[in-house]
Amino acid sequence: MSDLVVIGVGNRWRRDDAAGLEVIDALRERVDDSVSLVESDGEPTRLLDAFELAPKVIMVDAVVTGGEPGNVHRFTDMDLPDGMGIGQSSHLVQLYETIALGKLLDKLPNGLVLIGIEAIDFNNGEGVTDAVAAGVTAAVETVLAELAG
Amino acid sequence: MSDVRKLDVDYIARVEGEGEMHVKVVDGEIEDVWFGIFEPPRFYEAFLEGRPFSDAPDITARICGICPVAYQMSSVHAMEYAFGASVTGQLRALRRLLYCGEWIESHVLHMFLLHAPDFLGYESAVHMAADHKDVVELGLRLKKAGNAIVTVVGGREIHPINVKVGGFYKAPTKKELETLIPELEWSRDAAIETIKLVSGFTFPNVEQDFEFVSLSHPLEYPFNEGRMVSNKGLDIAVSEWNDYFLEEHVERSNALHSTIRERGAYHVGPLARYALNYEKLTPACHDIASQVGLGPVELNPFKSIIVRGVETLYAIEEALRIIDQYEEPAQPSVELNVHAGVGHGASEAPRGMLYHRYELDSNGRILKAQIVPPTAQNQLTIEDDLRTVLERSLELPDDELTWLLEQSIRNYDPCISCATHFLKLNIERTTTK
Repeated sequence: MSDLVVIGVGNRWRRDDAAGLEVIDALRERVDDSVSLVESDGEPTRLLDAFELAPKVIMVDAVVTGGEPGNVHRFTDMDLPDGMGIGQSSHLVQLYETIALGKLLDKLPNGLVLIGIEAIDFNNGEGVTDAVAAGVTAAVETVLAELAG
Repeated sequence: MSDVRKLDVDYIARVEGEGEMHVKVVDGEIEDVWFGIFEPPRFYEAFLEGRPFSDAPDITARICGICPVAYQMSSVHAMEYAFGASVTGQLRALRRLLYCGEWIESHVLHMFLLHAPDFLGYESAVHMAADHKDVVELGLRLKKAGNAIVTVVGGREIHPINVKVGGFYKAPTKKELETLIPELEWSRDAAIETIKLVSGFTFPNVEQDFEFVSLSHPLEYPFNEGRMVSNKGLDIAVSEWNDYFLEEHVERSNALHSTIRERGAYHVGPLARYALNYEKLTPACHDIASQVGLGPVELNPFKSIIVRGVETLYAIEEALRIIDQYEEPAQPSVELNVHAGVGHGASEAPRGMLYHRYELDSNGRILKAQIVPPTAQNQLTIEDDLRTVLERSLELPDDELTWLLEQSIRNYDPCISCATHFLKLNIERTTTK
């Protein structure tokens, strides 16, 4: 078992929704074997499985809160409000629903942190917007600080 | 002026796709029923042009996070058709096994986390889990058995990377496949339990005169191969799709609506496969179907949840059979003779038949791509169902009516965000009489 797992959630073919996955790409060069890196499309059952990989879990995802694109948010209170608009790509179950489900089924790790990157463009296509690319860079540092901390 | 009742359901833009439903009732008469989806395949068709044929399985797999195997399979079959390649024996069996995994995953996710809450009166799986933790846990474990197949055969969980035109990059060992057996054996019993559970739900009494369309193979329940048949006389080769079907642009949607030429709407998915291939199911499937009162043909779209259960049981038994008879193939793929041509491929995605067509140049570059997903094919049928449900339920208050209409859409396990409950509901009533 790893000490920690970082889960990037997103879809590389929906522009800014790739943000969480790009953070994982960048982290591959920067972390050692004690950290598991997982890519997720947001599908709930696999996410719940990934929660069991380590006692501490950091999720990274594109979010829409109405803030400046590229802004990085850190959530530890996982009672996220309904309809908050967490970007995800499993077309069926929202990320916060998965978290709520995990809580009900006692599958939620104690240390769960969500790093959200404010996103704006979810159209079909590859590559995040410039603002979100800067957000990805910032989010990588946020995750590394989280690992160190 | 008249008494106008309008139900608008605009689904919040989601990443994988968007959909909306509009219903307008004037003086107790249904004036307009419209179900629209905004689907990604159009983008992917354009995106594929100019790319090598070998890119198609990986790129099309990204269209749907829930059924990537279906997109891979329809695309590899189309390319192999163009090149005159034939994938047989254990490689063919492995493709069926991979598909079994996807059916289990997709059907179980839909039954337990999306459709069951509708029947049991819960807003979502989370609300349902608070009261029925054991049911949700049963579903999660069952789904995991499907995930495991896709991981072992497909090489990765989300978008399987091991599939290529001509076969696989690497064939799994017998030992690797055998690790799946204990959980699949548990799953067989769990699927039977699931069928009993969902068949106990209360079903609206709706029956439709569907034209069911699915693949049909003389020896097996269809995944990857067969003729396209219907219960109203259609019997064509996959390559004849465009001769018998028509895709039309419809205002207010970027999805193309499909019809059978000069006949109209048709229905693809579990109910269609079941009705057209009932005799190829296993004895255990027949037993449990008859035990829960399911005949060889089911015309009530709400009972699709039971048929999904039966198909889940079939996929588990078929997976066990394939693993039992598996011998590692000498080569993981067959040689391809790349040349210019047109390829057609169809396979049975969990939610219905998925057709691909590619025009290729002499280097195997894609000149033109056509992708016809199951939800686009079901769009008109879904509208017909909505109309039928509305006609019998107009007396219901708006919230109950909306619930019922959403549930009707979910009968088709649509590959759009309709499965969620994020609705902007706009109800307008005007009374002047």
